[in-house]
Amino acid sequence: MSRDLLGQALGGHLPSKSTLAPQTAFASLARAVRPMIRYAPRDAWERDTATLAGPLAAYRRRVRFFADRVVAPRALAIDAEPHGEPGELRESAGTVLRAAAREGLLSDVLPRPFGSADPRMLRWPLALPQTLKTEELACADGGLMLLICAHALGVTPVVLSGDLRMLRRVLLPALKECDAGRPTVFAYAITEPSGGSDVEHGHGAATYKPGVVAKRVPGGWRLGGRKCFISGGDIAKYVCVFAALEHEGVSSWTAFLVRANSPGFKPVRTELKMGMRASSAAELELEDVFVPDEDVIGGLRKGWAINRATLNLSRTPVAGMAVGFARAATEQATSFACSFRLAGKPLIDYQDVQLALAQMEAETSSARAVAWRAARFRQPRQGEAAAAKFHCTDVARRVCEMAMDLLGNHAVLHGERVEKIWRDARLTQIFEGTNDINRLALIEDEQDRLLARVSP
Amino acid sequence: MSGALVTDVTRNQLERAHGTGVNELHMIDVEIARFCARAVESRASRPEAPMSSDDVTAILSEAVEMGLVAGDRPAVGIWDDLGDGPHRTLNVLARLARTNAGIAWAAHVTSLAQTVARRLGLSVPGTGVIVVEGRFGIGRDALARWLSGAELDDGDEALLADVYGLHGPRLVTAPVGFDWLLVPFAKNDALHWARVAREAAHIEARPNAHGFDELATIEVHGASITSIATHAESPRELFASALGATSLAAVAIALGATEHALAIARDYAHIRKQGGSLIERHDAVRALLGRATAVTSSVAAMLDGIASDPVDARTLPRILALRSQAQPALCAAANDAMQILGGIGYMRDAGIEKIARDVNHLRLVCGSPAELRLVVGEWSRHVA
Repeated sequence: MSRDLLGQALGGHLPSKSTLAPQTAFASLARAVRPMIRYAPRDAWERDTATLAGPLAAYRRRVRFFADRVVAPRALAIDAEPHGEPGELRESAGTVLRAAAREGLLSDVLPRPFGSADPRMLRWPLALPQTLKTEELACADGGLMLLICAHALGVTPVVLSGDLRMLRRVLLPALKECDAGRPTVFAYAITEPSGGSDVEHGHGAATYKPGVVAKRVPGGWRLGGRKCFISGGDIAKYVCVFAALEHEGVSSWTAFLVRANSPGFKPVRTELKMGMRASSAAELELEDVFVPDEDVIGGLRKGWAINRATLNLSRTPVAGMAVGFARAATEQATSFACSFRLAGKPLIDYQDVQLALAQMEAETSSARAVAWRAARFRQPRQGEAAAAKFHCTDVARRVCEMAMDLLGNHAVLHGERVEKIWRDARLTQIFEGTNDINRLALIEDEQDRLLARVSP
Repeated sequence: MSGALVTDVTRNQLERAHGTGVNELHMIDVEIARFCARAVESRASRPEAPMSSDDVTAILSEAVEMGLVAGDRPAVGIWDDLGDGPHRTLNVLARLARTNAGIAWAAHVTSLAQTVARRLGLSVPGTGVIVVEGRFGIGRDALARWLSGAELDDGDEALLADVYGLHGPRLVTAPVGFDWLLVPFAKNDALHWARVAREAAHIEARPNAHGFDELATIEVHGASITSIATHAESPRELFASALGATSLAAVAIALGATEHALAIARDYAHIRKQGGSLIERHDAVRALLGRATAVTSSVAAMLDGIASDPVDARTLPRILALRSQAQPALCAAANDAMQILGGIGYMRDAGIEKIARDVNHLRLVCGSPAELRLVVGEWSRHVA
């Protein structure tokens, strides 16, 4: 069906003014019941934001404003830039990172006056605002999102250490620097060339021989070995390096705060990645790097616990990223469907296109519900966080592929953005534990309950 | 032995093999393997550093000399067999794609351009490239009605005229060094073919396309037509053959590329340990490998089942139906293979992410799965 003469209806639909249209029909109901039935048409983003409490809604609006104004306009150009040298932060990415720092997006893991978050945010779990943030930034650009948000991953072990002296001595000054527009970036280093999944899963860790080892020396420790795929590891000022104590296994893992200017610390290369290119994935070489005792995070042999607790906090924000990618793909597909004309009418007039967009919107919305639910647990739950991570990231890829199919041959073009969103989204199925490792994390979390049901 | 002699010998072997039927496919497979090892592998050994256009041109020139790709004389390898079943062609394309999918796609678009041009009776010096799709896909359900001989309404005519407008922009992924394009256009309720000289076309580069880093994705529009073919053959039959050939090529190339991805994944799973044992012994990896292998085996069987039939209007509905299922399944399989490598799989130097992009790229050109479903559904209504 073509559009009506007044152009007020999409193909296959009646104009909203029609007496058969729901909103018009509802208006004829008794005044007393109308408030139960009628609603004003509202943008889906606004609708979801309205379900959030005031400070969270304000935060979501603020991050979106930043993402739309600062991040999105630079996304495609940064993605297409040639690969840089380790430690080199390109001018445009640096501009975004500094702006994010000034905006408080590098210091909002703590409330004012320590960080930049609204103190009222303490009423909600830390993962919730971080999940809102990753969605908004990922929707604008995956690489810049990771450049900004991987910092929170690096900061989390220091927060979880419960070491107030380290907080005062290291973290608070660093966050102040960030607030002043001088990004002081933290990175999180667990992955090793011989151990990806082993450092994210207890069963694997039990037999894993750690590659980065700390030797006792007077006044501290000397670290040796390599870490790889460390987001922002080459531009960080502080790197939380997880290392085993000499002659011990992963159970001795200890988190060490390594300063990037320490002798022996060297980012040797950054990876050429499929997507998320604004953020580096660095290989870090540690050659007898000295770490004083005071820079041990949370105590000796507390590294494994800190690692798992950090992942429980960070996997829900990864689900948020995935929601952002799904939303971005849906928005790009919608824009294309509304602007591209075929045989004299916009693509969105075609029924199959409407069906695809509806499915994409529903998938994105359901993923957001899963992510937000997981983020609302006061104690981040491993099973919930892992489920949100693998479910939402799988949804994101599916939605991206639907968007690409909708754009057809135009989807291969860089300028149409959906192929880049797909490339960016693809990483979320891999990092923070592959999705299968996250599925096993869910089962691990439910182990005792499941064992109780196992027949003797 | 000089390179020229090698290629002459190879060509002679291929020509002797052609038509004998005895071990023909095996012999061609051996020759293709040698060609890939000699001409392609060294140039494609660093997936993070795409081949230059000069490399692609050199490889194609050698393939023409060898007789694999159609040049100034018919090839014995690719698309010399539209009428008697494309078994050999699909085998060659899949084999090339196991080394480099971009080279396989380049071989397809250049060979088919020559084959179709000959059927049109056009003089065809230089390197041609065929573009079968219109400015957006292939014409949705209207194409199915035209190809099935059903009556067209005004909407169908408008749709085909818009999609296949003579001067409308066309997105093309092809080797940089082509001399002419062969494009379909709508006229008098039918699709015909025009040859467009490169120098007469307005070409706009569309850099950083999703896949096929070694090829160029360009937008061609407002072209001056060098020649419009008038031919005795039914426009419907010729277009069906060209669309069917391109559809089969896309599947065969995606199949070969995905098999390559699976080989990388299997090799990796055989040496990488997790939890104290090789990851190939973990159910998670076995399931990914199994799912991907099931897809490649199924698609190979489906291609095999259709490859003995002529590529024409009668087989086209089956071909498009196969493609609508096979292409997304192969994309999923390539991604499963990539997932097995974990973080390494995401890095460009591992090679597997390029395959995932190439296979995606193939899914999107010449009719996306969503559009193919519309075409197949409409066609089945008329055939039924």
